[in-house]
Amino acid sequence: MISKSVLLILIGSALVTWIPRITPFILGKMVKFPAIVTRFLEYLPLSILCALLLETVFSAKTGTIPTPKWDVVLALIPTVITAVWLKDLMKTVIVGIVAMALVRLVI
Amino acid sequence: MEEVQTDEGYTTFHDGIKSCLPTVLGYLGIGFSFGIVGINSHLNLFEITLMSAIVYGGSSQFVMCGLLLANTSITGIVMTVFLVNLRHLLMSMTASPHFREESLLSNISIGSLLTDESFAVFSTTVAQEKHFSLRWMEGLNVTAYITWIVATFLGGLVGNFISNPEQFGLDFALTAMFAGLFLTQFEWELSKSMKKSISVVLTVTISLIILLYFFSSSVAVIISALLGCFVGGLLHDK
Repeated sequence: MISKSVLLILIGSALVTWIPRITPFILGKMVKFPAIVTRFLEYLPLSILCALLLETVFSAKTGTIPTPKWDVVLALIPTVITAVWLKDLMKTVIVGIVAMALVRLVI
Repeated sequence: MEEVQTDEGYTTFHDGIKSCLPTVLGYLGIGFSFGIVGINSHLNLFEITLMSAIVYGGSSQFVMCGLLLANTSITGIVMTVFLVNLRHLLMSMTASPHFREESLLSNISIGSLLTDESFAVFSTTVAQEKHFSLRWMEGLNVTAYITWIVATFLGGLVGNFISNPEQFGLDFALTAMFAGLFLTQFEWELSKSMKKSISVVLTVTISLIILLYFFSSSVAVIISALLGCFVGGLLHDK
């Protein structure tokens, strides 16, 4: 049903993912983070969402200059318009998927 | 801190399910794609569903499939997954102070299920200065978690018949979801301070493009997000 090496990989990966996820929640129960840390982290949501979005746009390989993935850029145009105009995440995702399917059909 | 009255729509578990709904389609698209990719990476239905249940990190799971196909060593895969998912540390640090008053077990359960998307929904709620309850956060997290596992399973079921989910544009659900979540957060931050939010976004954009040359993309994301926080924090009182 499951090979031993896959099981080891899954357990190892689960642990290294879980520990950073829960550690701040455990520490946060015991100590209060310094005000300066909280002040800087106030900008994390905006920063990390911006970074995660751009990460999916650029095709990157260490040592080479990152270039935009043009199919992603093209599909992003109607997606962003929908997001700004309708302010509805579900419709944004639908428009995005359809736009990307069309872009790949043409390119 | 005294008990704060929660706002309407952010109180019950059911409210949390409702807050999660806009992201459900994104999870379905990505989870379904993952299921297909997983099966085509020679994993079986049980293995991919288990992976979604215990690793529960979208991009890292796609990376794992690629590494398995490339016959990477167990340590190599686990170390890569660690780096790809390390950004959760920052998100948990940001979210955890809001749950200080809750029990240790509740804190662990919230941290265990924190994702980019649930963190984004949570952060928008914070930016809107809404008061939310623990039950609301649990509803948000659990809905996302179940959707992810179900979507993986369904993708896995059709994985033998479809080898390339990309032709349907399904992989773009991730970018589309990040775009929608980012723009929502950006709009709220812009309304608070235009100069600060634009400075933060420019910092992240420029630094990420430069960092992608030197580091793996997961490390570049973490460093550029920290630089964004740094610039935002410096401009804080001006």
